Amino acid sequence: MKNNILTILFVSAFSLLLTSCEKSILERPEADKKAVFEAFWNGIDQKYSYFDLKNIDWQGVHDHYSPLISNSMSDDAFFDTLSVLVDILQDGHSGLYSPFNDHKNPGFFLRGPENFDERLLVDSYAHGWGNVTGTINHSPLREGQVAYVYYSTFTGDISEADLDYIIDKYKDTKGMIIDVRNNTGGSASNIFMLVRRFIQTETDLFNSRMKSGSGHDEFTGLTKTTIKPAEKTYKGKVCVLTNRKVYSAASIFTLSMREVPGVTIVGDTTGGGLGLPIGFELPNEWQVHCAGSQTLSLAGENFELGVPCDVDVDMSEEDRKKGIDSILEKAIEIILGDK
Amino acid sequence: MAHAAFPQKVESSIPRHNYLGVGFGMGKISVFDQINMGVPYSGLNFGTDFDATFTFKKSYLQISNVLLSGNLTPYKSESVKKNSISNYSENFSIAHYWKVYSIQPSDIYFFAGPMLSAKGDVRINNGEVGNSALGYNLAGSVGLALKSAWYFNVLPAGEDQMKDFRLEGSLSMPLLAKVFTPTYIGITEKAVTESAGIIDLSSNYSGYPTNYFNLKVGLSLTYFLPNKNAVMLSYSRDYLKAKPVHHPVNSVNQFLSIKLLFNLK
Repeated sequence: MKNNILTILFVSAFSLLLTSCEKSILERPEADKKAVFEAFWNGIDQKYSYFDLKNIDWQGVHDHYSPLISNSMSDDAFFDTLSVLVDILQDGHSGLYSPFNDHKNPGFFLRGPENFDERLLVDSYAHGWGNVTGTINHSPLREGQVAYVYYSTFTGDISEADLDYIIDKYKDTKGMIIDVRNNTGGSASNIFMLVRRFIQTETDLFNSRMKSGSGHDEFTGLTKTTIKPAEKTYKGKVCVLTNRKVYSAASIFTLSMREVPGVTIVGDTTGGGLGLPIGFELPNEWQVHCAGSQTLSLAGENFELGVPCDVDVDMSEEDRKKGIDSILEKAIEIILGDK
Repeated sequence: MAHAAFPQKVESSIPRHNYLGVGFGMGKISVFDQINMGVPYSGLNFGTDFDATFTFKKSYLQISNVLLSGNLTPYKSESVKKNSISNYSENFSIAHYWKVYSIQPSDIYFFAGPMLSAKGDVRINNGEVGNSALGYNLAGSVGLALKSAWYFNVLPAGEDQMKDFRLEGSLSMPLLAKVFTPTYIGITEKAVTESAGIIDLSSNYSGYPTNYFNLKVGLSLTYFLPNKNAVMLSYSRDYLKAKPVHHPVNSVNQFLSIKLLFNLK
């Protein structure tokens, strides 16, 4: 009898343990519009990395918009209101995603002229984009003295074999033009695969730091990025062509190439976007993106709003009508010139 | 006839605990990881259940491993387009149980002993949260494990008079742990360096029951087959609360499995 009581007690205690705990985890947080607004505002407030640089009064934004939020507004109107807050960040890495609408902030490329005409390039220089290796278009120019390489996106991986082929093919040229205009970024690892092909010794490229706490100025210490050359490298002159639509990984690539000896950045200031995008989810399941780190030049400059060029050139309308790409021509001139 | 110069084989006082168990199971995962979730997520995961037990004179060693994977969606979501998270859970433990008490002739045993555990839960947000899509809690720990076993007969006893069923209850909890969780913004400090990794092991803390609480309770029923192998049906509930400086994680994993136990003696 005593043993049976012990067994019953034991099984009962177990059953109690097994049925507890889960409820506390599965409790959803408040998801009315006021609560979602606060979660959105707080998430950005604690994670976004460029309030100080952009001189954004985020508390003022809260004070202005919070009274406008009510539970009676439609989801669409609420989405539009949060989208306005996304736009206040003036950041291509910020965005809001809902089941019915996505809002991004690609305004970075509106800060300057377009400075890119793909049709003109194809007709006058690249001969129909005849050569494509992996994700890279390339073509010899000026009787094979200059290699023209167009890299349109950092999305998708480049292979070492593809880069070996391009370096081999153009190893005897006087210079190489790497055109990243309209390249809005992608995978950061491609930056290093490319840059390693143009350095001959170990090279420091930039410093970065991450948000480490909720304060606007709370960051980790600086982490220096240093890379080693690839086995097969290009030894001629190099020009990198940029415009305002060069963003994110493409901007970090530009920032990195500034540190490589013998490289000239030609064209227009990039669109910036050197902070890595991070994200979080709101209590209504919408998702948010914003920049959560900073990438600085070795000299400590913050080029989040755009990496400047060594040689500033805009495409002129007069040249365009003649089928001439003013930025590309300037790069050819630099490569074939005496300097 | 045994010779005194040769030691006699010492029989263990722990009945029927030399087995290799292989099985599969289903887990219901419920988790709220605040690095990349705005709401709790839940879902069914599937995986494997392995364990091995070896007896000594008054104790036995148990090595066990459960690996689960699957998708989670927001709990009680009313959204037409649900977010989803891929979940991977790995639990490995080695526990050494000593018999501390027994009730005879009811065949009830109580065991207690130390436990070494390696536990990892990785959650990848498949939505738009970009670089901070990865949430995880990894922990290596030393803790305490308790177990009880009751042997009983349902079918008429055979010639060997051995009981044909065993009901076991277990409870374990880490007491000291090293816990690895994501950085403040969810990406590694070296995210833009050539040697970027997705897990930053420097983001860790020392865990005690106050900031790393992981209670696991289990119940299992074993049927011993006439050929001395066995079939085990088990249910466990693993409750975890990790409280790093930022982004706490709460989770419950209910796991139901069926295992074949192969007699090792």
